[in-house]
Amino acid sequence: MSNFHPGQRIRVRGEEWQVEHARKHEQINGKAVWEIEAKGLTNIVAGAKYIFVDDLDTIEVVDPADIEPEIATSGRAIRAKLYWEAHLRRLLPRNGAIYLGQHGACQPYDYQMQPAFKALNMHRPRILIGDAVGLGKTIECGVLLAELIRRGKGKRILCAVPKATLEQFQAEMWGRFSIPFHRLDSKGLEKLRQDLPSTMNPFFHHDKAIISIDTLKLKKYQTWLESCDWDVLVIDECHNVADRTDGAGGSARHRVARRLAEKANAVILMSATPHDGTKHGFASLIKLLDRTRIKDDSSFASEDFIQHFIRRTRSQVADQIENRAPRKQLICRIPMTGDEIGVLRAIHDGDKLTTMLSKRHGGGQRELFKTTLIKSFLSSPYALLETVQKKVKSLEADPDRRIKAKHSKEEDREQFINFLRDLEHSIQSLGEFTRFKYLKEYLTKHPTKDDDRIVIFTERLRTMREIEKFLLKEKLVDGVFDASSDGKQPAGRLIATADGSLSDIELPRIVKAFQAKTKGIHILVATNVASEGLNLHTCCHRLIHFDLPWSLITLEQRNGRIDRLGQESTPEIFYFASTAEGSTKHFATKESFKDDFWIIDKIKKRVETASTDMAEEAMAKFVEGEEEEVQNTSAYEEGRIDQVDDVDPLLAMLANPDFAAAAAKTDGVNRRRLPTLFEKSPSDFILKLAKEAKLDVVEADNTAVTVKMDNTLRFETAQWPREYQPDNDSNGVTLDSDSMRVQSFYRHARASNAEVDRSFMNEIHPLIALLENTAIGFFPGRKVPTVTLKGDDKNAVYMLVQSTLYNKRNDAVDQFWQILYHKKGSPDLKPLFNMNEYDHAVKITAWLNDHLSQIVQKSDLTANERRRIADLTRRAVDTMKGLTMECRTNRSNKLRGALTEEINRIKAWESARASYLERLVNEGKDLQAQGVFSIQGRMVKSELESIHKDSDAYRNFIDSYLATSSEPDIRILGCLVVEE
Amino acid sequence: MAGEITSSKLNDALGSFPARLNEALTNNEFLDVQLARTVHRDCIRLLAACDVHLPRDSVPYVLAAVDYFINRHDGAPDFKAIDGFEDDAAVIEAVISDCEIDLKKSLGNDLKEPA
Repeated sequence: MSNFHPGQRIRVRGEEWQVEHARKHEQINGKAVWEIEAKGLTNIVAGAKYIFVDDLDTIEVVDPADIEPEIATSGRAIRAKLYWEAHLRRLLPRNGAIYLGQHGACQPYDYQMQPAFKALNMHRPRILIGDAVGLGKTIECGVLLAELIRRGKGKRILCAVPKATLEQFQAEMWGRFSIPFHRLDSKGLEKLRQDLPSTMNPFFHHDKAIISIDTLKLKKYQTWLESCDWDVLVIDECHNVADRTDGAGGSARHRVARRLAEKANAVILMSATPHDGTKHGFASLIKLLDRTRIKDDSSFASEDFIQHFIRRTRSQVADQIENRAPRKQLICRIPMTGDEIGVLRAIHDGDKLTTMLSKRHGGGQRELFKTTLIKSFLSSPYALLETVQKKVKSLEADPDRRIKAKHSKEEDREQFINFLRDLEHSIQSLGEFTRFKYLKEYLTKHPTKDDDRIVIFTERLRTMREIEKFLLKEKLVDGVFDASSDGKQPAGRLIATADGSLSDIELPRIVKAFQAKTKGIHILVATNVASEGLNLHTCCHRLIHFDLPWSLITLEQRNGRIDRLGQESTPEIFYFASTAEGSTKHFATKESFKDDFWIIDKIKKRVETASTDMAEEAMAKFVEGEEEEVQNTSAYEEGRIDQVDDVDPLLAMLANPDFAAAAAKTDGVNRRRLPTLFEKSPSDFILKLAKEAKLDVVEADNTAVTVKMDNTLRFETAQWPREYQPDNDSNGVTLDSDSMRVQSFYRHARASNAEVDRSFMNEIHPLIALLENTAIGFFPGRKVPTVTLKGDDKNAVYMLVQSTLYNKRNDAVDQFWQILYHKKGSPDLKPLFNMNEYDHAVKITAWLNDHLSQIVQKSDLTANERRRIADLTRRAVDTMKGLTMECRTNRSNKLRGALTEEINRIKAWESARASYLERLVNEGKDLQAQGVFSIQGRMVKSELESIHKDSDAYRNFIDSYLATSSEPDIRILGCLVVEE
Repeated sequence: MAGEITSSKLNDALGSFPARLNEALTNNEFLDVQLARTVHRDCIRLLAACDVHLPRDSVPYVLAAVDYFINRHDGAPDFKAIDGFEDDAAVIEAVISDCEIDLKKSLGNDLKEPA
């Protein structure tokens, strides 16, 4: 059976066609069937597109030696040059260097190219980018994706991101890297399902999709996802998919992430906070990249995962990034009123919390509920009131079930309800909330402006609503932003609220309006839904933590919204902290007293540990200060490292200096230029092509070209994401090669909430791919551009030949160019270049440019010249095949050692893992004998049964992705004949 | 291998092995050809030794080991996996080690010499 590849010529039903896409389907009976999309080349089928299946039609591959030389000397052989350039632009880079990263609509710092460089030098690019907040992980991801796409390893990409950042991520990928992601938000996905037949998998429809992880986890999509393969899986804010169930299978988010990661070839995980302080959670993320790195989730070392992990902090890259003052942080000490302290005291008084909740787990239930009440109160009295009322309601609604469930008596329940009622009464009789008073004072003294906005974070929905009400009542804002409408908004200073109930369409709308100077959202009050991934720094450098999160991850993620690259002002962060200090006499001991400073003390220890251990100055540093006094010191500088006793073992592990250096390695990025025949690529290519193909293209400002709209372009752009399709009345598509200018357009568009009328002229822009097809179409079918040269070596023939090695998935794995030289009378064709050199194509382009300067204009080849070429084509194909097979052998010799080492490592891991699991099973038996049942036990047994699946999976990976066919695809791309 | 394992059936299979190996190489360039050839040579010699030099008790082990080598779907698929012949090499090595004394008596160090 033949193998079919894009670009190949085939003969079907008596006509000749060119393969555009070829896909092999394995049938149930084990037989493979080829589905081939092809474009007609001859007679009545010229230009027509058909799909053939090789068990229905007889498909014959046209002999690559069967060519028809076509003279192409006119205009200094410009058509031949364009044709070769189009092929050159698709030639696969052959090493792990960075070719495109530095050419996006951004100026990536060196450290931002390091993750791509690291990943590209892996057999399977699977990496966790754990850089600190605001260092540009999205750009790092874009660099890597662009490189993978250029290497043919990124045809199908799925990005799972928080719903709040869907639009932002999509816009960055398109604006900076020209990667067209289709946004599958709830509206987009539903529309797609309506448009497609019900049996069709919507995840197959777009090759590049961006979707919220919460949508992905929905049960209704699981079957479709199961049947999809992706080349690359990206998970932004990946800490959200970590397994927090300690080996019990993980949340729905984790399970879907695991399934997708197993099926994808490349995986890119991103999070500034990849660990939550538990080894198990962090291990679960590493295992998404490579399950065989960690044998025991509770005990592993940095060297186990360093291959897949990169993390830099602001201080580690300070020499590369802009010199901006560190964030200012202020703890605003807000004394509670006597009544507020009274409420807190009532909650703290454990005895009055009734005995009802103390029946189970030795009082643990009571402590848990007490903590819930304290957390609610420390957010706001309104949040506490809501918690209390809900509890009373639930107790009264179904008393029997609850009492039975908790083995409590009726009198306990009555006592509990009475306690809650008393608490409710105390809350309702509270006067003005002191933190509101402080907020009002602050906003009056430091009002917001169009370009100086404020974001306020709170833990509780109810608190968010009350802040909104309060600010409106106090006329600190003029109106409310309506996220449900895309239309006109009220005038003046607006307030917007963002919480988890907003749809994935409404939330981006708020974010976009908050970023735009022309829109009036002056204050954004948000729950933690907006705490991750969003860029809120464009018009805002002030952030208020209205209440304090109890998690270090949340705290750092919140701060990262305004403290990030591109922030032009010094970030100011305010922590509102209620204190009952001076009133501790109300409580038995200070230890049991939990106000905001109790939380601060807890977080402080964590922060100090993380900051000092990871040498990370960017982490939030709490320093108790007076109001309006800003301090910024660190435990490290004060030499208090040893005094920190609450050292998390994982953080300690990450703190190992060797690890920190390895994880933060930023040197050694190998940057190369893609080979090109034109001085300025791709703008020269576009302009010269437009002239030759008579395309309607307008050039402006030396850097921008507009390709006017015609039917082909209209058809092409209809395939782009709907957000980036030109309007119906649009003149065309504008590409700009000036990266700085495009960035400034985007900045301006964001500030004015306008659309950008141009894209960056990126090498991988879909419009350029369309233009390349036009150039390749200059010499369809058997035709091969041929030029005549002057020279002393009369009658010598040079043949430009390309060969491609494909893997079993029919992806091009390695590609070569060669110039085969034939001296008249010589028996052999001599290769002029060493194809084993990575940059041999660069040398060939120089050779071609040099020889094209010796062109002799001719209207046709002589009969003798035609005969000479015809005599050589068969030998050229065979010679190139032989040379390619030598390269194939060299490649496999180079790879074999590393692959064998890897498979042996996996086998050793399987054996060690099996021993570890067997130990767990035995321990489980002991526990079972004591009547303890654990879900983990079942998971362990099931893993043990399939313990060899990882080595099998790796063998399959080598077989499917790395092993190449012994039948390279050979094409003669050009002939150069020295005139007689 | 279907049916009873006999020395002659195994010899036939070993005879066609080089062709199978060459064919497999076209699809899997990572195959450890050197190891495959070494194990193949050891199998031929073991079978040869079976007929004349080995005690009758050892013969079934040798036949089973050679059969394991011939069977392409064992621990790791022989022609498909990069480490396809490692398990075969281990099995043959174990049999050689078990029969070492008898083999040395008859073959000297021949068995260990490169092909």
